[in-house]
Amino acid sequence: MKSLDTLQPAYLRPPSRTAIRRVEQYGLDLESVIYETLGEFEPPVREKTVLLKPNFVGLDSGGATNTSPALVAATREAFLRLGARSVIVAEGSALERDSTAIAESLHLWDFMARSREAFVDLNTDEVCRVALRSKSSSLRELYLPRTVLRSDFIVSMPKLKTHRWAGLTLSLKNMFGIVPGNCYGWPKNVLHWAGISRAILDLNSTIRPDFAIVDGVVGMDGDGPLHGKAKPCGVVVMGDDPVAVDATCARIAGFAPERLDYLAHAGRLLGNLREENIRQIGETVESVQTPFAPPPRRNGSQACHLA
Amino acid sequence: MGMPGSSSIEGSTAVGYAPRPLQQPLISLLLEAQNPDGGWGYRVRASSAVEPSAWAMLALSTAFDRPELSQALDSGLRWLSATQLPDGSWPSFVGQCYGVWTTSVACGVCSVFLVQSPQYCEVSLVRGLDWLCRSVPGEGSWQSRIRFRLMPSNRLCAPGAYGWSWTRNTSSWVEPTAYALLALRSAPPALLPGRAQARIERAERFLFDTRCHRGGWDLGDPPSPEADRMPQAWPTAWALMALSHHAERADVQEAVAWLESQAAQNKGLATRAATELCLQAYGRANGLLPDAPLAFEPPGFPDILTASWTALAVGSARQNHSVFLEGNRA
Repeated sequence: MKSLDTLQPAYLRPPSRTAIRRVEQYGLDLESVIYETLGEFEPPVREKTVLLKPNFVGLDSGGATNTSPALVAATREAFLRLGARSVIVAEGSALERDSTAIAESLHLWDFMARSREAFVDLNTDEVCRVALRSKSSSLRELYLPRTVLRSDFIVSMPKLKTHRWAGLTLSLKNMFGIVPGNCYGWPKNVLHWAGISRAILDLNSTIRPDFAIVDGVVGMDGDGPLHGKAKPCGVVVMGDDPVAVDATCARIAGFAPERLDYLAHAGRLLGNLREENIRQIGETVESVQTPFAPPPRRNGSQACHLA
Repeated sequence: MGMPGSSSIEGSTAVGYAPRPLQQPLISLLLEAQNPDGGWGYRVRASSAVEPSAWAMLALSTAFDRPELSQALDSGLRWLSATQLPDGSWPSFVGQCYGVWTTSVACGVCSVFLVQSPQYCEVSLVRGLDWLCRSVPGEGSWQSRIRFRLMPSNRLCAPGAYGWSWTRNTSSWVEPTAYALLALRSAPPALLPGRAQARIERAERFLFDTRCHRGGWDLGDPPSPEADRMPQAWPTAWALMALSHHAERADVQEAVAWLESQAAQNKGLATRAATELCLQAYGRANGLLPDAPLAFEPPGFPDILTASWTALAVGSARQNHSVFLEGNRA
C-alpha cells in the first residue's frame, strides 16, 4: 500500500502549487497541454505504474457527466512520454454494472485504440482488506482493489460538477470510485451510510491521490452529479495536492471551499485549502471564474455557494 | 420448472431455443477459466470469487455433451459449499468475513443442482435461505422504521416495504432484491423457512413501489425525487425476472415494454445479455446477441460474468437448469 506522509496539520505543510490551463474544447492538443503542465511538477513516474482514475459514473449521452475520454487518453500519453512503465485507466462506476457499456457509450476504445487492455474495472478487481488511516466515519476498514494498492502513482481525474449532497464533486470525492462494487454494490451505499463527507476523508487519508487533473472544459452545474446542466468552463486544473486543486476548482466555480464540509476537513489533514497557501501556475482563478448554479438544497445537503 | 422464455408465463409466446453458435466458445472459455481450487474469478486467472463462480456454474449447466462438465461442476460446487460462512451466508470472495448479496446467487446454484449433487447443495441451501430471510436492510431495522414514521422522508416505498441490501447495514436496492427473490422462488418450497413468504411479499412491494413512472427501474435510489429518476436497462431486467410470475400486472407489462423499446440502444454485452434473458422470460426474445462467435478482445474480454450471462442467454432454454432465473414452478 502507498505510504502516506501527508496526514499533518496545515501549519506544518509547505505551500502547494496548482496549475490552471485554459482549454476551450476537447479537440485541441490536449496531450501537449497536459505534458507541458506535468513538466512543471516533475512527477516521479519514471519506470512507475501510474493509475488514472477518471469519473466514469454511468452512461452519458450528454457528455457532461463523465470525465472526457479525450482528456484521459491525452493524460495517459503524457505520462508515458514522461517515462511511466505503464499507465492504467481504472474506474469502478457507482451506477453502471456493465463497464463495457460505459466504455462503448464514451467511445473509450476509439480514444485508447492501441491499448484497450489498459482499462481495469475496479468493481470486479481482486481486493485486499485495508484499515483506514483516519476514523472520521464509522467505516474503520474497507476492501480495496489490488490494482489501486499496487500502483505507484495515482491520478484522480474528476469532472468539475456540482453534487446534490456534497456540494461539489472533485478529485477527493472521485476516489469513491475505487471502492469495489463486488463487495459493496452499485452504488457504494456503505459510503453514504457512513456519511459522505466523513467517508471522503477516511478514504483519501488512506489512498490519497498523488496528483489531480480536473476536467473543467465542460462541467456540470445545478442538480449534479447526474441531473444538472452542461456548464462550459474552459479549464483543466492540475496539481500534486488534491485538496488545493479541489479548493481552486471550487473558487473557479464560485463556491467557498471552506463551506464544503469534506473539503474543510481535508484542509486540516490532507492538503492546503487556504488561498494564501496555494500558488497558481498559468491562469488566475479570477480570469477563468465561471459561476456554477448550486445544487438545489435538500435535507442534509449543504449551502456552500459564495453568494 | 423451466428456462426463461418457456411458455409457463401466461400470455407469453414460446420461442425457439436451440443453442446458438455463440454458446460453445463461451462454454469452452468458462471451462478453461476454472481455477484449480474449483472456483472462478471475475477474470481469467483471477482469484476465485462467489459471484463469477455461481454464474459460471449456472451457465455451464446449460451445456450438453461435454465430458469435462461433470468434473468441473463437481469441483465448483465443492468450492462453493466450502466458502459458505458459519451463519449460512456467502461472502463476495474468500477472506471476507461477513456475508453479502452473493448469498442469493449461491443459493440459486444450490437449487439448480440440488437433485444432482445433494451432498453439496441441500444443507448449504437451507442455511443460505435461512440467512436471506433473517437478513434485513438498514431501513428495515426497528430504529429506522420509527424514524420514518416520525420524520418526513422522501422514501418511495410504503412503510414496511423493503428488499435486500448489497451489504450489511445499508439500504435496499433493486438488484440485490431481485437476486434474493429469484433465490427464494427457485428453492423447493419445502426448504423455505417459515418467514419466507412474508419476506417475499415485503420485497415485492419494494420493487413495485420503486419502479420509475417512466417505465422500468433505476438502481432504486430511495431519496431521489421522481422527476430525477431514469430507468436503466440493467436493474429493470433483473427486477422483471424476479417478478415474472406477476406478468399479468399492468405495471410489469409497462416495464417490459420499456425494456423492449430500449433494447436496440443498449450498450455493453452484459447488458444486452441480461435484457435478452429477461425478454425471454416474458416470451419476447428479440435476438439482441450476435449469432456468430465473438472476437474476444480486448484481452480478458469477455470477463467471466459477461461470458456466463451471454452463455445463459444464448443457451438452450428447454432445459431445467436456469430454474434460478424463472423460479420453481413445480
